Amino acid sequence: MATMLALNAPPGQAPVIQPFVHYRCLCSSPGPSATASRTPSTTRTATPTRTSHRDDKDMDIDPTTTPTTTTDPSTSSPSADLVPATAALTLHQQHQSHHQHEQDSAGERSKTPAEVYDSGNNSDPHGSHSLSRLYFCDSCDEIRCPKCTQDEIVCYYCPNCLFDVPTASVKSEKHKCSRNCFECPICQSTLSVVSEDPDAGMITAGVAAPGQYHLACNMCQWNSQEIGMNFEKPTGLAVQIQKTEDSLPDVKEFDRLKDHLEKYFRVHSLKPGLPSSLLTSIQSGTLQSLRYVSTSNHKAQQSDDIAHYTPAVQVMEDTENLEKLMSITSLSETTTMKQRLRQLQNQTYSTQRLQPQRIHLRIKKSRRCRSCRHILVKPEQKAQATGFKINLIALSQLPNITIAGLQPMIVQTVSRVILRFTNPRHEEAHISLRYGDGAIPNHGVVIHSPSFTVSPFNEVWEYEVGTMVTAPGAVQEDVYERTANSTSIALDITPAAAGEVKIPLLVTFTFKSHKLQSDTDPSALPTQLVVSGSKDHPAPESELIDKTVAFWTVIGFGEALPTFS
Amino acid sequence: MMSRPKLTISTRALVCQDNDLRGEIYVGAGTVLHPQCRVWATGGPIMFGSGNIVEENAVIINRGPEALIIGDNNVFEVGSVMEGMKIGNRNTLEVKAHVKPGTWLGDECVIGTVCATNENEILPDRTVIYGSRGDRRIFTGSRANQSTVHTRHLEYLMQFLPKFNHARTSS
Repeated sequence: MATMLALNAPPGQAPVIQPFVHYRCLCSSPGPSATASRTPSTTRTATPTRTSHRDDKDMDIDPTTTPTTTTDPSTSSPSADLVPATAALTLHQQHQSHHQHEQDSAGERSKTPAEVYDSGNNSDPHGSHSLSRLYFCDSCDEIRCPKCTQDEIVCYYCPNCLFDVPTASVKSEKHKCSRNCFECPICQSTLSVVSEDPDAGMITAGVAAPGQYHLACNMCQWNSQEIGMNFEKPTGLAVQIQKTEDSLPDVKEFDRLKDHLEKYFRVHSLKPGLPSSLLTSIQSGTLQSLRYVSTSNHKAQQSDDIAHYTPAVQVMEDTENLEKLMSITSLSETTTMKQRLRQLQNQTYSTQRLQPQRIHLRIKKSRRCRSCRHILVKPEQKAQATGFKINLIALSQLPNITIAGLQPMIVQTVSRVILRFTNPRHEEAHISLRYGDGAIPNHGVVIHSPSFTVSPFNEVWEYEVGTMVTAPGAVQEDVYERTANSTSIALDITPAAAGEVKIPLLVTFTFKSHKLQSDTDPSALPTQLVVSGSKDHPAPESELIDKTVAFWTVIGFGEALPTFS
Repeated sequence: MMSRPKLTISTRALVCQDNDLRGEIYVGAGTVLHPQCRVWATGGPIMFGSGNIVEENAVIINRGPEALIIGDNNVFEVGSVMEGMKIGNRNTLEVKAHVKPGTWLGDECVIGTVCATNENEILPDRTVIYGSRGDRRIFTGSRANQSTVHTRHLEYLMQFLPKFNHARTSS
């Protein structure tokens, strides 16, 4: 980030280093457990372009896996079907020695506090994000970043008419709305169907005149009559426009080429079909490229079997276009890059030949944890519904740390910093802090109240000024300030060297949870976070257990100035 | 205290009270001035043709010594600012559009939402300024539809505005 700022800063002026609070996702940190549990199995060779643990996950996923199968009790450990070979062995042992100590099997997935401590103990902001970008998987009890989660397509819909397009018909409709939604070829805003006859809105008995309807843009006043496009009825326009689209020579040529190559694809059992989810597209993409690389050598003769393709359309030397473009005096006479890219079939230079385009479909995505396969974010299936069925974002589960007070940092001078911890949960949370000494340079940090509680979140407080429990400033034994659902504490920082002051801070966060899948021995929980599916001993639903989550944060306090300034 | 405006209003026009009119203003037949609009003829007079609509918070200023002649069937939408020298017929100034001083507008121009003209420029007929970058084009399609919408708009205003507003008369 600092380098980016440096690039953006005007010459001769020092870049402004902003304070920040970032939470570390351990997926990208080279912790000891990350390498131990995620070693790729010997049967699979890792692709050079991808990190090894991602490959493992990708390949082991059944594309048809649905949320219901992952929550199936038969797969007692959620990661059982995911961690291959070596992991399967330890899982087996786990079943046998179920009532024994679960330390070993737990190490598979959930990091011990010591491992967590080791894996993030540095001030490098790489791999850390602001809280709003993160997820919190409540079965792994770990922070998940966009890298260690997986996107899946929930549904396709048109953003204009909010029609849910069934996945089966998406491909045949070329990922565009097949109803009455069009975008302007000039300014890409939505077109409206307009009638020549102002009374057409009312149902008239009279026979409609041919070519009575056209498309009009309210933004740039473009009108489909400009290109001689009229319609006889106001519905089903997409079919008519698609006809003209399909008759374009480039589209025909592409279809021909596709038909030609499809034979080859079928022979080699490579499916060029549309994958139903991003997950499968990633997976099949990897497999295809792998297979292609591995088989290209000894199947070289076979690949020569593709019959020579003769294009149906012969492209003439484009002197006409060239001359036209040479004679242009004003830029408005030709199409812009954006307009051409919106119309890939013919990419015309003449604004007269721009056609209204059907509106591209959008998707709703769900996110899945890569290690336990649980869904973290799942939107409602309907396009009209904007809510989420599952929404395990970190903002609503982890304490939100903000810098509430900041003194300028001066080298070798103590400056006081106030950190505010806000609890989004409905249960009281206990937080303890630990300064990571792995930071370079190692600044002197004194945490005044390293262990404190934060009151639960209550909707009522949203409308009130936070009730003061203690007066601000009393630091000695207690916290700095305590309001509704937030607690502020004071830190004294003595910067060791000039430059940006970043400190790693280990936050251990204990809260009451309704977890069904609890450990048999709740007393072991504070030190060991295991969510092993102990179906032999199902805990009653009302039972509250203490859950402890430890995570690293990197907090930047801006730039430390040298002493003399 | 400013002097009372010198208004000449056609009997078929509708000029609401609670607006800010200054200087010498002529309002043609069928023109509607909403409440809270500002028409300042601080320099020369402002002359409205017929069938214009000036909506709330629209500002029309004539600072120059010559008369500002506004043609027929123009629409000045909410928050638009007209400081130009001349405006033809059937133009639309969309919400918060700004016609800078010294600009001449032809016929059937559309200054899009939050778009502005340059100072002292002459816009040919049927110019459209649109989009966040103020792109321009000259449109060619028919706007027959637009004129029927406009007459209906006027009819509606003439019917409903007097029910809730007091109208001004010539001074």
